[in-house]
Amino acid sequence: MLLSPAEIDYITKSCDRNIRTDGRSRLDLRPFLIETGLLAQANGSCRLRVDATDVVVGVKAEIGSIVPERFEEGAEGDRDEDDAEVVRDVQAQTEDGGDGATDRGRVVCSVDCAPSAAPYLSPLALQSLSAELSQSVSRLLNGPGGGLDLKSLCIIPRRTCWVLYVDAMILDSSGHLLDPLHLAVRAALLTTQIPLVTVQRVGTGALDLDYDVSADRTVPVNGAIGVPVTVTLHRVGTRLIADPTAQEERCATARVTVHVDGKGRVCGVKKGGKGGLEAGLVKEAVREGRRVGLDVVKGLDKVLEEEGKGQRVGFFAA
Amino acid sequence: MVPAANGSAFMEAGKIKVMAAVYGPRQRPASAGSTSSSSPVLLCDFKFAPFASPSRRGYLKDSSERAASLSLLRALEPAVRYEALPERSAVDVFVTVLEEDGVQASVASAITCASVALADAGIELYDLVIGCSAAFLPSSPDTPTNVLLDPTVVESTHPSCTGSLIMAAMPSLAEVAHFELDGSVSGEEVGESIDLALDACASLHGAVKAVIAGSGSGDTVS
Repeated sequence: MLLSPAEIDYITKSCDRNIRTDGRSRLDLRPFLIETGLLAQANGSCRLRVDATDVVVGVKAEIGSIVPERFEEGAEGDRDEDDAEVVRDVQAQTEDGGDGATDRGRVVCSVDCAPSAAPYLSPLALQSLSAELSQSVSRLLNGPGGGLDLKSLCIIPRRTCWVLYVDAMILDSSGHLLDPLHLAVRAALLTTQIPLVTVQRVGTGALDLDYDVSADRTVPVNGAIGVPVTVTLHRVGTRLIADPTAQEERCATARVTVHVDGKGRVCGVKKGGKGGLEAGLVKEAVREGRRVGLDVVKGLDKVLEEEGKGQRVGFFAA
Repeated sequence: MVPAANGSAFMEAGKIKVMAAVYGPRQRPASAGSTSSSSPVLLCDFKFAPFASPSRRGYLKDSSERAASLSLLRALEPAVRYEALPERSAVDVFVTVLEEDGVQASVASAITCASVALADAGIELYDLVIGCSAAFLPSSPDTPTNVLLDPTVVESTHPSCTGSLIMAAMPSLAEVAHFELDGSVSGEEVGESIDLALDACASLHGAVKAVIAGSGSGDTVS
């Protein structure tokens, strides 16, 4: 998208005066429309729309091995660096003294930006945007501030665990994508139901265990309520704005992404953009991001609670 | 440090040993970014030496090194005067960590070292970028705060560590070039850590400037 210097000047000055081009003030968010449970094949799903931004998230739970199987065979030639890293992490944790640090499930995230979401980007740039977004989600959910209780996803210690595949598609965009993406992922995880698994002992050895997957009983994912939401504040001119439109995003010189959970704990901060940022603005961004984020968490939890009672609009609703 | 490079620097901080080499501005490779734009680019490459850590690292970059390369780029970008570089040019920054002591602290040192190498190469900068890392550990009687600056690997991977951060600041401009925080910490702790990390960057700034003025004759600074 191209903006003329006059347009940039207009947007920048109006942000300084706290009236944005669509009438919002600096920290106001656009209303979002959210619907969950619309993909029958997924364990949890969500579609989120903010203005033209359209994000679909599906969560599939599959039973996998805690240490990916190909390492156990030790085929050196097949390993790529990512796998070697998993092995190193697992080994490092095992060396901690076997306190069960490895006994956890994991989340695998992928974000796919449809070409329709950013028609002005080249295929290569689109790919790197998708990679950046999936890295952000993956890093948050697998990291210390992700909220999910990954240990509860372990089925048989050191052997079997649930792997949650979080796959997001971005069908259309108007403005910054990280915030709606994280919000949709949170809603999808909150509504995810995974089959109940019971573990039985089949022998006398410590690992002589077998598991049985229930066909009809499901449980929610532990800790999904603790998954943070994301608020990105963009510096336009000398001030910070939340939830920018595509035009406003083009005028921003720097941004600060803040992840906040329902208890108001800051679960991650990351600065982005090409420009520098005054120290005072970084602190302001964390403070305001935390405040706005708490409102978003409350809003989302309320919407999801009421969703069951209202009329469902369906996937193709406008 | 590296005679073949246009600029280079070596830095030791405790156990950490980092070297940075800067090549360029030179012709932009076809692989770098979109070909339609003629603007110059900065290309950053962060790598741990295979023998830098207790467990051996491979020759190809793993995801933590790719993330660190990106952090390095984000930290240096705000300081570079792109308009002073020729069109369609690229500046390559290669950072090798010979010995690490915690990933965050290594990246922070890499940022400082790379900005000195950029200055050594004669790339115009608005200011030196100084990196600083911190970890959040619950306070004890002898540590009044939860924030631990420049943590060692033992501190940053301690089980009770609730988070860690990397700050890159441009102290003469009083601006933050890059900031990233992982973990789960309270709002007050974040504010406090930003102040502490900025102070640390400012105090390092003078020392690093003195080294550049003495044109890197192996000065030891504290």
